[in-house]
Amino acid sequence: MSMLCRHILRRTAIAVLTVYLIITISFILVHVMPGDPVIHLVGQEEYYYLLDNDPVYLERQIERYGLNESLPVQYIKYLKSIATLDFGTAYANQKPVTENVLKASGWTLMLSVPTWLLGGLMGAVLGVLAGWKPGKRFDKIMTPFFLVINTIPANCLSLIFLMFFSYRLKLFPINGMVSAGTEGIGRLFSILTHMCLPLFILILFRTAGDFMLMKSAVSQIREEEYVLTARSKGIPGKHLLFIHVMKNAMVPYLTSFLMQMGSLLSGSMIVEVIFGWKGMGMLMYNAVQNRDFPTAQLCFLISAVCVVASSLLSDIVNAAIDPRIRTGDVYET
Amino acid sequence: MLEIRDLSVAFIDGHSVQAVEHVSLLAEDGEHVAIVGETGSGKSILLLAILGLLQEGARVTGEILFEGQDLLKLSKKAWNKVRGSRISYVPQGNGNGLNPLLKIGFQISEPMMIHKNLPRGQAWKKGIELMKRFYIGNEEQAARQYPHTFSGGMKQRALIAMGIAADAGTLLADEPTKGLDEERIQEVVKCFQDLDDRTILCVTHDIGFAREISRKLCVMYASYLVEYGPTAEVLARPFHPYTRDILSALPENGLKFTAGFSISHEDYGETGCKYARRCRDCFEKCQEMPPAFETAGRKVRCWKYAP
Repeated sequence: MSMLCRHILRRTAIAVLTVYLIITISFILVHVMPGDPVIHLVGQEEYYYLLDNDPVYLERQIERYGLNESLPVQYIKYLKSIATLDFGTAYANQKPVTENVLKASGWTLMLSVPTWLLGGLMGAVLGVLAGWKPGKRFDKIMTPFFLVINTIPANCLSLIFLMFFSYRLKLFPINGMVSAGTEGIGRLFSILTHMCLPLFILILFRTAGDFMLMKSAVSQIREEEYVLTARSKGIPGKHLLFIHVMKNAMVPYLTSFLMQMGSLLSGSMIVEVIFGWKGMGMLMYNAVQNRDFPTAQLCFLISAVCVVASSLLSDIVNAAIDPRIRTGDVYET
Repeated sequence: MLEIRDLSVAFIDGHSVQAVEHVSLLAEDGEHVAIVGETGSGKSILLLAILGLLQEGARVTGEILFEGQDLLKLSKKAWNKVRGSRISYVPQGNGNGLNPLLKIGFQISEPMMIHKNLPRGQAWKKGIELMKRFYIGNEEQAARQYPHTFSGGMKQRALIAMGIAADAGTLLADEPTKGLDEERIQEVVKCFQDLDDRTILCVTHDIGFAREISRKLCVMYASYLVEYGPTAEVLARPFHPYTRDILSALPENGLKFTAGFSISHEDYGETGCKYARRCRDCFEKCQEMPPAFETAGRKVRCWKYAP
């Protein structure tokens, strides 16, 4: 196991370094962009207007963000504020950015966690069933179905669903997360009805993607020579599938599944925007639209850290399953 | 005893392709039989047919009599009981025959857990004994290793150990010397010679290896068994023109291969002797497929040996 421990330590060190680099690069980017950073803060037109009419205000802004200080000092301050989780106040509502983000991420997780787990589970189960007996009836129905889903853009299907289920049939609310003035059970029920459509669409797409991955992994592995060897030992079907095929298929599948964890907070932007779901995707979308710099910065940082953390996790899990990765040996397949 | 009678395998995939045609051979108990032939001659398919592991869509006709029972009449379940416990398969060590994610010790002891119902720990111990028997070296530790740490020769020996793990009396080996250097080949020869109590059917490209391990030799060409007889005699005095040609192409015989190379696709569709196009002794009669003539204790598919 020491091999595994060393691997984990090395990978973790690389991940921490990556996060640090991301933080630094995002600092540098702001300062190497052409023009004064204040231009990006207040907006181009506003900047020139203020320059002519209210230079004192502009001066105050520069001081407020510490832009008059030398770069190293700014950099240290920047690192300090990240270390103390102080990301400033959002322009949108003058509340601490962290508070806004926490609130929004709660709403997003309500959609993304069930999507991740249910989509991952259903995609895996259906994919194994189709891939284990390719060309049979189950495969012939499921594969074209999920292939079609995979090729439709999520925003297109979302709008079709909205038109049909919400507008025509009036089964679900058109927009938002909860009806005004509801409390207790009523509020919960209201959230659930608002969740239905976006959640259904997210799960459908996730299942389709995961299904394709699992199906192709299983159907390829069942043709491998070592599966033939296993069959030649007289290993009964279930045992063959679970021990000789699934374990190998789990390597690519778990990689993808754990990488999806990285987009739990930021991955459903389009669907959130269409359904008016005030989650992280919506927050980021609005922050970018309205030049809400502190909010955008934190959202960016969170999604970067999530991606790095999830790839670290999938790397560790992979190493735990596959001895070839653990020892770092070069091998041919 | 393993007797194959008039076995044919066809793949129906759009158009039908004959992979094995009218092959008959017999391996007595404890007899080692080698099958040689070029790539695509159908020898590996023959092994898979005996194991019942051909892909779906393969049509197998004829009889595979194993200890008096026709394997082709077995149900899927019954066949699974035979595989691994009475007939087992030894894939080539240099390929991907061992699962990369499972420990070698587990893979070797697996047949014992399935067919002998041994508990895991006991099977593992027996697996280590088997690994010792086949000269793997440092067995206790090697059993906990994964296949990627094994060399080609070690993998081959581990696969042989796996083949007899559940005490199968008949082994079907597929090119056990492929990609191995001379010394490793000698180790495989030794393993096979140690197994003189088992029936072995071994497919190989290596005629020198076939000479050392087998009592009987089958030469296959384009899905037919063209010559079949005692190894020493066939190699000393080949009858079939194809056997003669491949033997003269051996390095020790001066690498003289005068016939054209590779089986062309049309050869499969012809009605005559498959070797006619490349054969130097070809005459009119060869437009018809010759039956297997028996001469001097051998079976030869060539009109030259018609009585």
